[in-house]
Amino acid sequence: MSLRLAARLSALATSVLCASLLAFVLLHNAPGDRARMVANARYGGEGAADPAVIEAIRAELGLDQPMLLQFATWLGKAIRLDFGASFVNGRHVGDIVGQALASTVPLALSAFVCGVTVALVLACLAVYRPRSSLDIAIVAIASLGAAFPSFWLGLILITVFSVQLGWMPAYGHGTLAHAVLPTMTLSAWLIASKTRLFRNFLREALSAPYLDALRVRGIGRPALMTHHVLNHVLVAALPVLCLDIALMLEGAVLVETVFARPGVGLTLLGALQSRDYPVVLCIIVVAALVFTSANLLADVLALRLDPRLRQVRGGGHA
Amino acid sequence: MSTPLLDVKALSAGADDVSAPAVFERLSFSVGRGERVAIIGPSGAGKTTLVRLILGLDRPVRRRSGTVSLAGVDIYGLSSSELRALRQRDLAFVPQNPASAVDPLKTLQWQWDQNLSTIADAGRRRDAHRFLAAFGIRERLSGYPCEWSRGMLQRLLIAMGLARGPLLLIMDEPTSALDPILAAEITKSVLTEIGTHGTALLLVTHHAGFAAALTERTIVIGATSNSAGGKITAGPRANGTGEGGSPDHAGLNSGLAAPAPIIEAKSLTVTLGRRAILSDITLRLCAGESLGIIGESGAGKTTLVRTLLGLLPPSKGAVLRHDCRLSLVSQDPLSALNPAMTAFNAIAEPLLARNVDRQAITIRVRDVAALVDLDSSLLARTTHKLSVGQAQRVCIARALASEPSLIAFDEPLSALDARTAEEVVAAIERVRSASGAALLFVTHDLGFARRVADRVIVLKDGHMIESGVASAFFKEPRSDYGRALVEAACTIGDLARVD
Repeated sequence: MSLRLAARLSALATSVLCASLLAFVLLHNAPGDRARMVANARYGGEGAADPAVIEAIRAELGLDQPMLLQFATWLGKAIRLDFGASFVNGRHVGDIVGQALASTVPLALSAFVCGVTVALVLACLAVYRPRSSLDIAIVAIASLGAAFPSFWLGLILITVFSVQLGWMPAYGHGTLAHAVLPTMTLSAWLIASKTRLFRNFLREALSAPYLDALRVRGIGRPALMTHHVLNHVLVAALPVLCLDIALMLEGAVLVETVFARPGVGLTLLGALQSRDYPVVLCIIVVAALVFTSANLLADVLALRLDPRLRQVRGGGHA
Repeated sequence: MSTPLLDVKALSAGADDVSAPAVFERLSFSVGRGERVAIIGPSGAGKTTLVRLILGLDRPVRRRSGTVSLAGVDIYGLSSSELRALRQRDLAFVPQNPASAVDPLKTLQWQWDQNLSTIADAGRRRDAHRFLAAFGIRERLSGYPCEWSRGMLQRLLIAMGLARGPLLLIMDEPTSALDPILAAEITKSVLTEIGTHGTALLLVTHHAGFAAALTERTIVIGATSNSAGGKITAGPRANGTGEGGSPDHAGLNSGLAAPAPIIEAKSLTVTLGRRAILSDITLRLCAGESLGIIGESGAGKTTLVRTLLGLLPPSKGAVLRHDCRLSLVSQDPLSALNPAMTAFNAIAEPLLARNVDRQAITIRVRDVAALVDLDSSLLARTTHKLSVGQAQRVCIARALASEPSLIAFDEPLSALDARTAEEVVAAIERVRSASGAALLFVTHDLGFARRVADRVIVLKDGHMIESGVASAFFKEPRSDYGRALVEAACTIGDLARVD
């Protein structure tokens, strides 16, 4: 087990390394002279900086060195969590991204928890009487919901709840009320897609033959659901849910832009517009890390929760 | 006792759609307190449906009319909580496939405790562990269902059922997962336990010998079963099938001009984790020869076949495959076939993979289908519309189609009832005389092994206990364990006594 975990961890490190190398190469070859951009940012004005200053900055940041050497220097620092300074304002990139994450992660997590809970409840209602009008309505709403893009839904929510009803602030951050509409927008997509997923897993879990054997042993419906059926549903849905946590962070980028909330989304947008490459690179590395660890988490949890997966390893079944 | 324990009156069952034919109609019988009754019938006669209706479970078909009463109470008049209380108190059920009666995600200890928690009587709860010992379960229950063999799970389920002290124990083909020695032992333990508790037994089986050993009365259900019924109860089905492997087949391996070996195992050892599944097995199988591998569940039979075919790597020793055209017929034909494919395409598939031209494929498919007695009209059907027996014959035809040098059969009869098993055995016998392929059989059914094998090897705990010519083995086994196997097979009716 520990050997396999070590192998998985090294695979994870390799993936993140590859992602950061790719991002580094792309950004390195992006148009524009980075030394000039830093000079412009530091001293203001477009193209007014003295060529001698630009050269001094180039040497200072090591931009005159070969690309791979630059990458090695960056990597060496990044491993010690030093992602350099922003080209724009000279602040530590780690601080900038950390601050952005501190605002995005709670949004993503609360949307995830709300979304999964609501989806599970809706799916349970849907399978309670299969093919009833409630079931059909829930599936129809879930299918429609999955078709709406989140930025559109966000705008509609702002129109209804902020502009027309005036219940919630339309944008910004700070209070709990500010978080309601973004959370709703972000969890809507999760509710739509997971309701159908949970419904299918529930129906599958409910048709398992061992449930009949338990019924004959006199186990009641509540115990069947809590001890057995939901357990199977969660184990089946786990790999998808782990990736959804990562996707929530991605979705937060769009939602933050719509609601003008500070966070990874706005930070990334700003950094791209001002070509603040160290910030962009750091966000890409964080995203790669989040996705690969979500994958690893899914695999580890699945092995932990489903004894049959542990069995296949030794059984050698085709 | 004036009222019978279980009283089934004019019970009819069928699909929700009333125009669909009924599975059975107006079925009536009763079981008295402490009585032991067997229900026998061919597959499709509605045995499983009947059991489900008695247990109050009504899928995939429903009760259309009639009543089922347990101890004078109509179970279809009960509310769901009353039905639950009745099941907790009075009923125990052991299904055919033990793996389908346990939650794969919970430890067996957890499920054992859950079962105990439904027992109201505290004294009985304390006493429950005795049943584990009575059914030979000495292992700790800490593992998960997937780590246990079918035979062990089956014994655990019987113990779980009887620990509840039910009025009625219903068993659906309980020994299909067990080898003869174990089946005989379990039979004895079940009889003792239900005798002391006064539990009635309703046994559903296609195994007439087992029914005769365990019950006092037999009920035959199914449209065509009345004529067959007399025959089934009169004698075990292996009766009168002759001496099995004919002597001229049996001599193949002893002659001087030994035919070319197809597969050889040399000091083969397979370990999984720290457990040795097979130790030091040496054997050789030649063209045209037929070898039966027999032994109890967990003896390593399936592992041996998988290793010989190259599906599992040996840990030590070697497998020499002199000819690599190998094919496998597995235990469950329905899961071995793609349900969306026609029988023709299923048989043709290995040939298509070898780029044989269309016309040759058609001829070959028709030839092998005829050999296993598959009607040509069946070839156009998709495989999920075939019966289990037909599906198993399609599997055999598919294995034959690519003209293999060796066909391995892994428990080819265990999913079949007596009549369909007979069709499949007939097909296998024709294959054996018509094809030059070496045949390898894994089975715990000694009657079957005697009919189709020239030589047998006996496995126990991964060791080869005995190997020899089949006819000699069945007449006079050399090892104690071999003797016990043959003796047990005679007891439960797998094997007619050899005098």
